[in-house]
Amino acid sequence: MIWHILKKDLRLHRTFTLAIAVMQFALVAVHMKLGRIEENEAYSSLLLLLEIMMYFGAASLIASVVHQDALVGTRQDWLVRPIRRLDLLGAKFAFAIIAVQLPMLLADLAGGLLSGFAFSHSLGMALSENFYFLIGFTIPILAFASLSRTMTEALGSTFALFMVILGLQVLVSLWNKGAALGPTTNTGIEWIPQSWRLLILALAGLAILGLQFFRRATRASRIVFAGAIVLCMMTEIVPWRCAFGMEEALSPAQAAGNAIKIQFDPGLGKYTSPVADRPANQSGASVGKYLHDGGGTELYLPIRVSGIPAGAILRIDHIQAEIFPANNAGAGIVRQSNSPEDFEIASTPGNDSAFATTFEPIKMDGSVYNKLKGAPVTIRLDYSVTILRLVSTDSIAALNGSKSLSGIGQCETGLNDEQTAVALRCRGIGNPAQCISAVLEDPSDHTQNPTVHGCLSDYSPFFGRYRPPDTIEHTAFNLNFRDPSGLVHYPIDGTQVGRSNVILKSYRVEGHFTTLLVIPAILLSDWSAS
Amino acid sequence: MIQIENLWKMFGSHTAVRDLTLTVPEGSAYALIGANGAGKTTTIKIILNILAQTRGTVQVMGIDSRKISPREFQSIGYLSENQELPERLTVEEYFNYLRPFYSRWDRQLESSLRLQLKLPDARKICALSHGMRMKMALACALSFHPRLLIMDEPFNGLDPLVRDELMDGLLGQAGDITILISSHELNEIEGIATHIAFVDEGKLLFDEPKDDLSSRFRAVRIVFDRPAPSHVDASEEWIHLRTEGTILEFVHTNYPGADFHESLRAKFIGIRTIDAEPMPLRSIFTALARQKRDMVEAGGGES
Repeated sequence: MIWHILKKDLRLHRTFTLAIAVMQFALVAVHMKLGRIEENEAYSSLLLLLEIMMYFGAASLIASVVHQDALVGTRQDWLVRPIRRLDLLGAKFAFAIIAVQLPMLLADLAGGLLSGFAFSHSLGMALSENFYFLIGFTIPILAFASLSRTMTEALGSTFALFMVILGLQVLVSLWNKGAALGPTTNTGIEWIPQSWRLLILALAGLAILGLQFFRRATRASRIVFAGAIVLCMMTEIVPWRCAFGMEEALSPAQAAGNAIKIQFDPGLGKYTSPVADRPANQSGASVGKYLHDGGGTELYLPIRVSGIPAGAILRIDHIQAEIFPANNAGAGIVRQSNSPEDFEIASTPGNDSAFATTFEPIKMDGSVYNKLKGAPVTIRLDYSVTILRLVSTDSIAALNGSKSLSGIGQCETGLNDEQTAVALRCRGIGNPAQCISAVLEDPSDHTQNPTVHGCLSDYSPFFGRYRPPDTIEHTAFNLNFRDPSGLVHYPIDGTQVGRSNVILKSYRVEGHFTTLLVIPAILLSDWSAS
Repeated sequence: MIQIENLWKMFGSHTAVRDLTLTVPEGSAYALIGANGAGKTTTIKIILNILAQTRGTVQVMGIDSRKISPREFQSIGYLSENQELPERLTVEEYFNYLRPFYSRWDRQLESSLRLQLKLPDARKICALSHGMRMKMALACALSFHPRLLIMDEPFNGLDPLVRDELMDGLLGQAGDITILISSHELNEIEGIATHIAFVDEGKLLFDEPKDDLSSRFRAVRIVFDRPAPSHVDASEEWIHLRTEGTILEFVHTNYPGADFHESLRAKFIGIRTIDAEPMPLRSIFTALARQKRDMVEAGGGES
C-alpha cells in the first residue's frame, strides 16, 4: 500500500513538488551561469535567494506531506482505516526521496556533467551529497514534521526552536568567554563535531519516526527531539584536546610527527618586518605566516621547526599558550588559544636537514603584559599540528590558461579586475586536496614570486562533504605581481606575467601530532612587537 | 462485540472516564447517551485504539483494543462529527483512495449509497457542507460491510432533512451490523437503538435494553379529589416529585406494573385517577440529567 498512499500524496502535492524540482535545477543553472570566476554579485544574490527558497520549500513540502496524515491528534481519518503504520511511514519516506532527494540528485548529476566532469565522478559526488542531505536534512525534517499536526504548528515550533537555539548559543558564548562558537569552528577538525551532529540528528530523527509512526508517542518523541537539540549544541563546545585526539587516532600515519621538533630559537633575533610579505628564508626552508590584527600587545617568539619530512608542509591548527612568572609557577597564568588558520610551514623538497623558522605571535592583554614584562616568565606553548604530504604538482599558463589539474579540478587563469594579480579559479568534484600552494614562475629562469598557501578547513576522512546545495568545490587564488602602492616589488612583474606559469601543488593529510614547547625564564619586553 | 471492564481515563488531574463497565452485544444498536463532556467520545477513542486507557480493559471483536491492527479495521466503520478528512481530495478521489484498503469493499453498494445520498463526485471535501461530509463518511463506513459501526455524534449540526437522509442510509444497510452510537439527538437514537447506556461524568449510570428501559420508566400523574399531599413519603425510585393543586406528578424509575396503582390507592386517600404513561427516551434522559443536576446543587453528591 506504500505506492497507493504515495500516489495520493504526489497527486496532492504535484505543483509544489514540481516547483521544488525546478528550484533545484535553477540552482545548478545559476551555478553554471556564474562560471568558475564567481564574482557576479547579482547571480550570487540570486543563488543565495534560491538556496534559501529551496531549503524552506523542501522543508515545507516534507512537512505538508507528513501533515496529510498527521501523527499528532486523535481526529485523523487514517487512524481508523486499515492502514499499516509501516506503509504510511514508507510512503512518506518514499515521497521525500522522490520529491526532494531525486530531483536534487539529478540536478547535481547534470551540474557535474555539464561542468565537464566524468559521469562516475559526477554521480559519486551527487550520491554523496544526496546521502548527507538525507541524514542531515530530510530525515530530521520528516521527524520534526511528525511532531506537529499542521503547518501553523510546525512554523510556530520552528520559531520557538530558533529562539531556544539562539538562547543556547548565547549561553555557549558566555561559557566560551565571549567567543560565539566552539574551539573547533573553522578548523580542519570541525568535521568531528559536525559528524556527531549529523549522527545525532539522524539517530534522533529515526527514533522519533519510529516512536511517532509505530507508537504515536508524541511526548516521548518531543523529549528525544529536545535532547537531540541540546546534544547538538553540546557538540559545538567539545574541547579542542578531545576532538584533536580523535583526529590523531584516525590519521593515516600516527607516528608521522615523531621526528618533528619545535624549539625556541633566540638566535633568530627579534621580529622586525611588518611590511615585507614574509621574513627571509633560512637554510633553504620557506616560511609563511599571516599575522593577526587586533588590540593588546603582541609578542613574536622565534621558533625553529626541524625534522619536517621532505616535500611536506606543517599546518599549525591550534596553539594554547600559558605565561607565568618563572620564579612562581602557577601564579598569574595567562591562557590563550590561537587558531592560526593560514599558518603553514614548509620545507624545501630534497633538503634532508630541512628546518623552518617562524615567529610565533602571542596576543596579550596590555595590563597583564605591563604586570609581567619586567620579570622573567615561563611560556608554555601547546601545539596541535597537521602534516600534509605533497600529492601532485602541476602547472597552468598564467594568462588565459584552461586545464584540468589533478587533485584540484578544472582551472582557468586570467588577470583580476585591478590588473595586479593573476586570478586562478578552479572547480573540482570529489574529495579535494586539503591544502594547495600556488606560485607564479617564469619557466625560462625558474624565478618565482612568493608562494601562496590555501587550506580547506576539513580533514574529514569521508568521501564527499556536507555542503548542499552546491556539490562543486571552488578554489580561488590571487597571485600578486604588482603592488599599486609601490612598497613591494615582485621578481615576476607585469612584463613577465604573459610568459609565466602558475605552479600548483596539492597536499593531503599525512598525520597529526601535538607537542609542548616550554620556554623558561625570558623577558617579555625582549620579544614584544617593535 | 465490545466488552469494557473497569475502564479509567485520566487527562492529568481530570478524570474523563471512571470505572466504566459495559458490554455491547453482537447485532445490537447500542446507544451511548450523556451530556457534553460525559466521556462518550473518549470511550469511543479508546475502543478504536486512538487513545490509550489509564486503567481497565477493552475488548473489540475479541481483541484487546490496544492491539487493534489494520486487520480489525477491515471490519470497523467509523464516522464522527469532527473527523479530519483529506480535505484536498475530491469525493471521487477519496473513494478511490479508500477502496484498495478494504478487502470486502462492495463497489455496487458504494455506488448505490453515493446515489442515494446524492454525493457530488467532483467536489473537493473541503468544499462540502457538514451534512454532505457526514453522508460521505457514512457511505465510506458502510461500503465495506463492517461488522461494527461506531458513530460519534453523527447527527450534530445537521438539518432535519440531512438527518433523515443519514438515517435512511444507515437503516437501509444496517442489517446485522453491530452499531455503537453516541449522541444527544435522542429522537434519532430512539429509532435505531436496541440498547441504551447513560454515561455521566465518565461513569455509567445504567446500561440496558431499550425495551426494558422504556417499560421501567413511567411518567406518573395522580389526580386527587382534594389538594394533593404536600409531604409524600416517596420511594427512592420516584424522581421529580411535584405537586400542584390536586395533582401529584413524578417519574417512576422502576415501574412495577399495574399492581402499582393498587399500592398507590392504599397509600394515598382521595385518589381520583392514576395515569402511568411510557416515556420517550428524550424525557428519560432529561429527567435523569435534571435529577443529577438537582442532587449536585443540593450537595447530595452522585447517585
